[in-house]
Amino acid sequence: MIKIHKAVVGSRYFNITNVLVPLVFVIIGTIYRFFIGGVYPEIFVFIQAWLMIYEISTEYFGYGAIYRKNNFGMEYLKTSINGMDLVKKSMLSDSILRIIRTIAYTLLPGILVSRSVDDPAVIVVFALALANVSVWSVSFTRFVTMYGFLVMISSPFLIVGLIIDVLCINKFINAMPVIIALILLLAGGVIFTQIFASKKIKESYKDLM
Amino acid sequence: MNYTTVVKGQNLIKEYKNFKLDIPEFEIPQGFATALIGENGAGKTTLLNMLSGIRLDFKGDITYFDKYSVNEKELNPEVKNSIGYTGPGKYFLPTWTVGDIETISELIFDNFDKDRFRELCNRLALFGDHDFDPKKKNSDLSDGTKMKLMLATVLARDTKLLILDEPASPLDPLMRDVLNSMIGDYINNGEGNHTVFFSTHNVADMESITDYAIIMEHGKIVEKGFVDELKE
Repeated sequence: MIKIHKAVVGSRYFNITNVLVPLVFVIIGTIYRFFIGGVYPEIFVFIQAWLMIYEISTEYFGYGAIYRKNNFGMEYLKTSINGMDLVKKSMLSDSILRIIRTIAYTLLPGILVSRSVDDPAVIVVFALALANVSVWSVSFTRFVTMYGFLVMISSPFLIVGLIIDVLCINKFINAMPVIIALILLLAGGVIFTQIFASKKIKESYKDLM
Repeated sequence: MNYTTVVKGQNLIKEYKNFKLDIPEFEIPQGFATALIGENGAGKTTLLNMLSGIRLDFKGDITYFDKYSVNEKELNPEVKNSIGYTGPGKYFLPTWTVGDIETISELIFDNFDKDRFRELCNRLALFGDHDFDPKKKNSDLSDGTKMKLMLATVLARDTKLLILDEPASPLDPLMRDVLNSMIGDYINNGEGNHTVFFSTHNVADMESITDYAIIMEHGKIVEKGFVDELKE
């Protein structure tokens, strides 16, 4: 499935977003944790906001605005019996890779140097909140052609994600139930993305007025 | 002239806001190069999209190879993959490179020949005087080069029917001759089993290889027949 996903989104996009950039984030995070130690919570929330914007932005360079009316494209794939199945598999791979890479570059630096922001459960909340923003936002960003609108349209996810981070850091809410809720939300996000993608693929066979 | 039909359409209707395609009867003879001729806006792309399966929101019946309905064609890999299509619009993702397109073609078509694809890219001078460049992005290609890339992908497969939407329009005169030669070879090599159906708004571009012509105006077929008969 990874081979299919790499072919559909292009090898350059795949390598940059799923290998190179996460690796850079992990290295920077590990070096920082090793030499400086834990991260002040307020700064970590700021970093989280930046990472959320980064994750939202990656879609601009990936599938682009394929959900816009009559804009799905990839008509070459429709000439094959399994072309559109390829797209569905690619989108599923995309969702799963978003989860893996966001959790990796949020958790790995802490695990590698055994340091964290006070409560490890809060780091898990951060990772899951970031993963949720990344997965859920694509069903909206795939409608947008202009980068500015892409960030704007995804800002509700960003705001909710950051609010959850801040509430957990300041211990206004218990992290454990939030973790369970975010895991369920993440699973829902993957399923929703696939169902929505299937709907859009079916619609692409029609000329929408 | 006696012939079998590779595609037959009946009561084909598709409506847009200010346009209606209405074709009571339609056929493409097997083993020939058929030109669909009409002005811009005549409905050529609409019809080709319906025949190729790019768009499935229309009324009427289409029969492929004397046997298969649209649904049967869409679900049968042997039939579906024996039809090649090139068209305007969003054919490839802009971010795909030539290498990505080659990889995707191998994934989705069992009958895609990679060596033949590269040979066709060279014959169509996709990269000019340079070697095959898999890193060349589709979005960086001119319209003419994009068309050549589309043609290379379909001609690198073992197909029985080619549906080509305005293949000659973006090509320079030299490449049009190469295209006509390739279409001629495709039909001759098929020994009566290979068919090409292409649209054009300029008959002169592909007159030399056209055997059968269908003329469209305002969504309707106004004339059809073998070129010799039409000329008479």
